[in-house]
Amino acid sequence: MSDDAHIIERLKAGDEKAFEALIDRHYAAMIRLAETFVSDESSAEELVQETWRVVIDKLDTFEGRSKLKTWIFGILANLARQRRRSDQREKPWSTIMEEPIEESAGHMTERFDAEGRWQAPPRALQLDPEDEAMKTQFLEHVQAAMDELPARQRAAVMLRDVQGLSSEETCEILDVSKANQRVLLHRGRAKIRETLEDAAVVPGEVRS
Amino acid sequence: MMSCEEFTDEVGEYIEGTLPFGERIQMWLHAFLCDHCKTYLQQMRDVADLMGELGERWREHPEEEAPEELKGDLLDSYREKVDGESTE
Repeated sequence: MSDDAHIIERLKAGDEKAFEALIDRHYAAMIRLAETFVSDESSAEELVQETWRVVIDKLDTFEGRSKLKTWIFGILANLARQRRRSDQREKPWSTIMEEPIEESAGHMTERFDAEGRWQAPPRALQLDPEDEAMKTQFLEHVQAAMDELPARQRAAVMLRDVQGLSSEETCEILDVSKANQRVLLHRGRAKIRETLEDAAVVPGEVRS
Repeated sequence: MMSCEEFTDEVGEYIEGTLPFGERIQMWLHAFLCDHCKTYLQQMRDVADLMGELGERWREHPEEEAPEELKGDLLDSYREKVDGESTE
C-alpha cells in the first residue's frame, strides 16, 4: 500500500519514468487477464490498450482504497464486460463469461469407488523445494496446465494465486459471488494438480 | 465420517478457511486419519504455492513487454493529461 501511495504521488505529479515503469510492471499480467475475456491476441492487446487510456484518464481520481494493481485489473474487466455487451453479436468478443460452472465438481469421480473411497489415490508429486531445476520444470508444467484451463477458472487462479489478490478483490474484478469464485479457484487448482500428477510422478515413491 | 470423495470436494473451501467449524473439524480429522487425502490436501496447497512462485518469477522477469509504439502513445496521452491539468 505504501509502495502504491508513493507511485501514485509520482504519477499524479507527472513523473514519466514512473508511468513507464507502471506499464512495464503490469503489461504482461494485463494481457493474460485480457485473454480470459477475449478470444484472440489482437483483441486482448486492444483491450489492454484501452484500459491504459482509462487509467490515464482516471488516475487523478484514484483514491488508494484498493491496490493500484487491483484497480487497473478492475478497469480492464469492466471494459471487457462493457465491450461484450455492446458487441454481443459480433465475433471478436466471443467470450466465456457465461461458461457454466455448475457441472458436478466430480471430474475425479472415476477415482473413487461407490462408497467414495479412493480407488486411484493421488500419486506423489516428487516436489523437492530445494531443487531449483526441478522447480523450474514444475513451473513449466504449472504454466502449461494453467493455459489449458477454461477462461474463468484461469482468471480466478491467476488473480488469486499468481497475482496474490484476496478473494474479495478477485470477486470484484470478475464480478462473481464468493461461492462462485471459490468453485472456479478450486476447479482450476484441481486440474493443475492433476496435470502435475500425470506429468511429474515417479510411481511407487513416497513423498518425503 | 465423511468419504474421501467428499473430502476432495470440500478441500478448496477447507484451504480457503471458509468452512463452518464443525465441518472444518471433520476435514481435519479425515486428513489426520487418511493418508491419501492428506497427500491430496498437501498437493493442492503445493499447487497454490507453485502458482505463487510463478507469479514471483513473472514479476522479476515479465513474460512480455509492452510494444514500444504503444508505450510511446501512452506516454503522449499521459503527458497531455498531466499538462492539461497543470494549466487548468
